[in-house]
Amino acid sequence: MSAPWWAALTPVTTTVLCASEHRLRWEDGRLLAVDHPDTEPEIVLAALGGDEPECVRMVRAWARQSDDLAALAIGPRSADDDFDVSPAGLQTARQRRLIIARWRPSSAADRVRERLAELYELFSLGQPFTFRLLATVAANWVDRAQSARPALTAALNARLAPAVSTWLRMDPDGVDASIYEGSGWGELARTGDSLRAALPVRWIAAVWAAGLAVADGKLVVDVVSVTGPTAEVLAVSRPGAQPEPLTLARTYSARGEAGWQARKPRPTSG
Amino acid sequence: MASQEAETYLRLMAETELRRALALPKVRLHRHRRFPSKRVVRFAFHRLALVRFALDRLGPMLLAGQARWHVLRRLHRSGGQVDGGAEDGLHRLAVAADALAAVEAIADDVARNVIADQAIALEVRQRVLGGRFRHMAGPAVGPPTGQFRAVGIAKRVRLEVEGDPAEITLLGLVSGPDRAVLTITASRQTQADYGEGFWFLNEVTAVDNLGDRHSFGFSGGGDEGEWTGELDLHPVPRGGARWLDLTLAPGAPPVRIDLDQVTAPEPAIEPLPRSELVERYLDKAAEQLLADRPWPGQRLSVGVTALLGAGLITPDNQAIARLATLARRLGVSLPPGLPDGPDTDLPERWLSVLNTTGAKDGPTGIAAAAAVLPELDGTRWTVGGLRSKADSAELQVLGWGAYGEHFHHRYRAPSKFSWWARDSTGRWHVANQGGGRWGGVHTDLTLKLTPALHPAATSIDLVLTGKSGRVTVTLPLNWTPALDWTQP
Repeated sequence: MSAPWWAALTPVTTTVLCASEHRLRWEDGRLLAVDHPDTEPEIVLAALGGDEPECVRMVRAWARQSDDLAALAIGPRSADDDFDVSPAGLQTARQRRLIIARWRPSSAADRVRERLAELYELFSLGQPFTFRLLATVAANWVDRAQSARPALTAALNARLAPAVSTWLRMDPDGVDASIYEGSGWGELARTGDSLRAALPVRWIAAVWAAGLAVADGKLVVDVVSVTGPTAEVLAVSRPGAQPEPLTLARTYSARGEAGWQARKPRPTSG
Repeated sequence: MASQEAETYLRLMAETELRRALALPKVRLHRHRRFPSKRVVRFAFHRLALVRFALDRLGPMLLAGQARWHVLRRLHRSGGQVDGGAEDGLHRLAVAADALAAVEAIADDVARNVIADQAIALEVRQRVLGGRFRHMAGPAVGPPTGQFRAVGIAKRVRLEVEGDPAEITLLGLVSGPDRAVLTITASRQTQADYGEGFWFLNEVTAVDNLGDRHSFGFSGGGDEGEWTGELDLHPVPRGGARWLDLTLAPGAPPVRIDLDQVTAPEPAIEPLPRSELVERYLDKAAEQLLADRPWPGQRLSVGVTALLGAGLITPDNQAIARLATLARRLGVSLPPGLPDGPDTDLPERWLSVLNTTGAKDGPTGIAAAAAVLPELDGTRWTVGGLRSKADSAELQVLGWGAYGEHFHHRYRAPSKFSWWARDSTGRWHVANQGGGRWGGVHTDLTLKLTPALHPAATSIDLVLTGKSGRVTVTLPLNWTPALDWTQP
């Protein structure tokens, strides 16, 4: 039994300039406009051509992008990725969105560009939101991975390779990952300098996005449960081995960065 | 038939290229201290003035980032210092995507999206400059519906510009529902500063039999002595226009262009089997070797490697053997990664080109070659003039809906289309798509046919091959000789 994909992702909050500084909060797999408790009427008004509050616009943008595979193709591969949505880039994205809105998106090309500009804006909410957006996208494809297998295979490779590089100190180009659609956690096998891996799409949402990919020198393959700051996970100590339960505790560095640390090793069951 | 294996290959290649790029330093655009120079400002002013009246048409293109792409390309060449490493990887990915799309292993929109996503992924990591390839996320645009016509002109006009003799060669006039273009060459007896010597072309005017007045915008390129290009008519002549009186310079007598010529019926498309798409792609790569030496082998090998990597061909494919045989005949080394197949028979037209390479017996003159070809693979091509020189010939072709042709030009990837010509003596000529102009749905190409046309040729069969079919049109060669500067 696995925990919900968002279980290990802590709630995060940021502010946007709406009527005043308003809060956007992500929790339990959803983005909420905290200062707009009832967004439905505002969404209807916006659809009818009325002004759309910035908070509501961002929530709607999040919903629109929540199954956009481009987010996984563009977004960060690890917490150490050089991913940086610059203020200048964001400004360009906003200008482009405004220009397109003024001209009205008349062609499919305009709609594609508008979608990319919107994605850029969501990335600009910061790394915690970006990771949660990518988790949301991956989670939305779990049950239909077959129809987007190439994009999801690349997304999994992109995120597993740096994790494996840390775990086994091997060249990330040697990682050959595929989407696992059977029952169970997946497969890992090492041959020489390469590692063949088969993991479910859920791994991106539940494990990688929560910063759990490698913990205690092991590769985490699934999250079993999360209670407060404690996560029960399944982790593999070496390729070819079966995963074992591991208890992790959430930690925070002096700079406030969240991480995970093994609490106490459990004996192998069965 | 699109395959998941091919798309997976491409997306994993993108991932590998991204990792490579992340090992490179971030890019920063440093402006050249002396940029923009007085000369660049003057040239830019002229070009901006040229397109000002067409801004309403260029608006969407500007939005699409295409214009910015051109500006950045210029910056890249002249003013900016850009690390090319990550961009090279983007180009490799683009060539591989193009190869897989050309053989229909992936859909065109998948290819464009993978490239666009990769460009943005590199951009947000500051490994390429902003705006690269983003326009490629858009879908291909087909030609507009309506009437197309092509009129052969083949007239040479001598005039004086600021007291200096100049010659304008009117090759042809091609028009579609949204555009009318006069293809020309222009030369001056006295060499002038780059571009400035042909500024007078923007002052060309015309009036038609309906009383409509037309202005022109010139675009093209060349050197100090001669420019080849197009005069875009504004507005496009109405349906009832039967002739056009052209005033090439203030005070010069008008030159009448008969628009009432009957455009030849469109030739039929000969369907080609899709099962041979991979072989046709490889043959187009080989044709580049024939037409465009020195060969951009490293680039092309990316495309061929993609076909091999995606399991679409095997190293013992006959088309690979033809490519290798041709390379050996030309003394060109195949880049690493390309299988070096055994010697095999080459097609007749390749052998013809190999046997007549370097011929310098071509007639010197222009011919009123004009044709409208049927829509092939989403593109409507027209022919608007032919010029022959001793060592080669140039054919002006204008396309509607030719999305991606600028891409093929820039990255030296095989085009979606292959152009060949066989003159009436049986000599084959391969076309080098060496130069052109691209914007929106329009593509203007100057196809350089080599080797030279046979001096006794009275016509050529122009053969256009696309993904789905082949079109052949016969163009008569009635030469108008070159003017002699030495004669008054």
